[in-house]
Amino acid sequence: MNRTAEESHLLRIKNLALEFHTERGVVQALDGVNLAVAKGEVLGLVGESGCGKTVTGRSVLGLIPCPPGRIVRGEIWLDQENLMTLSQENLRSRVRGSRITLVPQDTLGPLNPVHTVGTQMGDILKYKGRSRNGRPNRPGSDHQEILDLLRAVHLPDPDKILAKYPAELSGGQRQRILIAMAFLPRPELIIADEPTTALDVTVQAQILKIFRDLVARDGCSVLFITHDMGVVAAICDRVSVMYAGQIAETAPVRKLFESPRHPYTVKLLDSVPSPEKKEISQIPGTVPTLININKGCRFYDRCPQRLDRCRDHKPGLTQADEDHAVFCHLFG
Amino acid sequence: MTSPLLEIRALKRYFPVRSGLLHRITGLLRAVDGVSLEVNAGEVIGIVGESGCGKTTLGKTVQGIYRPTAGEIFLEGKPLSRLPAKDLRRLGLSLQYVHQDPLASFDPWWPMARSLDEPLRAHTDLPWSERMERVVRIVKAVGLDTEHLECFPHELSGGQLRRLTLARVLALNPRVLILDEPTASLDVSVQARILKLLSDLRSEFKLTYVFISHDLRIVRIMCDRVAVMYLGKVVEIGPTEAVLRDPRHPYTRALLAAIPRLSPGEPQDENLLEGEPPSPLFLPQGCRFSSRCPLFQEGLCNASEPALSPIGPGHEAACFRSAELSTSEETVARVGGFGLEKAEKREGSKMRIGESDAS
Repeated sequence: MNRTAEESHLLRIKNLALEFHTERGVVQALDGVNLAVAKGEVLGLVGESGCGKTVTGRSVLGLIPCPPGRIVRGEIWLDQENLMTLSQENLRSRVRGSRITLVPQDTLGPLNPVHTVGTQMGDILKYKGRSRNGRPNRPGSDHQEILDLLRAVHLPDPDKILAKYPAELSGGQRQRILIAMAFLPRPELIIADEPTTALDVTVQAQILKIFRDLVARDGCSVLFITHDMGVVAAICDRVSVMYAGQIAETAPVRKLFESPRHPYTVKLLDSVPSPEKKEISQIPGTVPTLININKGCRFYDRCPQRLDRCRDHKPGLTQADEDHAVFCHLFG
Repeated sequence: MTSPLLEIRALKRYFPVRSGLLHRITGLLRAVDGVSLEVNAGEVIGIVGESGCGKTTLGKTVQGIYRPTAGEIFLEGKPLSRLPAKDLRRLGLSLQYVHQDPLASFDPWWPMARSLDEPLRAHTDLPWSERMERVVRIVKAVGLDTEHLECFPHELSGGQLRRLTLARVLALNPRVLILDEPTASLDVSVQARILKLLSDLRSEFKLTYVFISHDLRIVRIMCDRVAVMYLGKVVEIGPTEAVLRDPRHPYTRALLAAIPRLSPGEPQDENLLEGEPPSPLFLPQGCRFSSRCPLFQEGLCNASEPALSPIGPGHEAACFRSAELSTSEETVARVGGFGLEKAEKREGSKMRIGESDAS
């Protein structure tokens, strides 16, 4: 990757390593994670539970509880700013909720049960919306903006919705509201943490379409965390596959589906049920615990194509292609 | 013709909704509203639909956790509601329900050995040593080890808990298992292994499955027949291949269209539904799907409710306009036809996933 291309990326995570200190030992949750999200791009971050997807998203937002969490090394850059050097105070006032927003997976927890949807959306504009955009505070403009956004997420009767409490709405409706809230302050980056996992397929398909339309409208970047390869295919431009706290492979989405390189990606794609398949294959073994993990490749125990050096030597980055990065000795 | 192992006839389960100071019944929630099904020995029948369509209530009513409001359930030809309590208790053992949340279905204070022993202690007269022998045998059959028997539920992973919920019911030698979302909240790689285990157990223990799921992709892999439910009723039923290749109810079609494809860049299906299912408290007039149906026709669909009518061998759909949905070449191109035909037409590179699958 040349220098200009790297600088055009809005979010750059460089060599991020993160540990959790627990009673049982040190959990190496992330180990040398490299990610870059370009402006206007949707980057998928896909992997099984416990692989570190959510933790990666949370560290960008500075939301890793410390203790027990500790970022050992690495840098997180948002445009020209190193987020790791910012204080929590600065992160809260200048970044979180304004430049970077989050769409969570759980829809009931993040909404305040004792305030109406309208109050909570109004609060976003009141505290987060204006400072960056520098728009004048025209009376009524906030309200209009909220209504427009609720229509954009296909909620009928937005006026009625604004007067309701979260518990009066269905899961799909709440997820639409949370998406609207994430787009409301016109952020540069949205971290979507499994936003459709708790929803029915029919509603999931609608939500993905809304998401695509809004991203196209606002031109913001998205880090889309999911475990569902089908969702990746539907919404992402590029995708990074994560395994046990490490990035296994990064490629444009079409390339990844058509010619996956890393043995884990191949296996993962094979185990996904799809309408075209009558059978699915399995990955033998289980995900390793991240305490005292072996020094080499973390997929070593389950890999069908492992080599001797995989056990003790951590695979470095190999460019299988100009835009296709693999972390595997098979290609090194 | 042999009689089906399990037969459900016009089963209904309503829940009264009470409100106000006097706690009066102000409405009826029609969770299951007239479902008839025949399940033959050895087959796997899938029940699919969105959340709230009554899949789980159906499963629980059949198992006897809920008392049916109306209708009858026959197991091995015997009507369950008219059996004396003693016979029902014995016969009921061969029909088991596997709850969808494995963590919630174990006592958090009990080690697994005690949880797995409990049903045997309740239903058999075996001494402790023989019960333990059976528990150990079954735990090995589901791919776990005796060391897991000493664990408490919170110490085990989702996949291990699934296996143990299966082990617990299998110890009673059931004939029919009602599996409620057996792979919900599992990762794909774990899901694949649980599905494999279910197929293995099925042949090993000669089981019949009622497979409740919201995921048509899994249903295609697991089930011989599939019933699609919408707001408490079966709207389409038939052999899995027939239903998925030639769906004759617009709801089935919409469910298929909503499945995310594994082929990036392909235009999204136009057949997506708008909105969410209406509340089962206030059903739409006429056909219950009419409020969301793209084929809705004034005066036809809101006048009366369509009944299941035959389409092909064993294939029935409840839609007035199902004939128009026949899968001609043109409609396949338009609605995707579940991608089956399209996938076959695709060239080599795109079929990579499918090929490795066949090998």
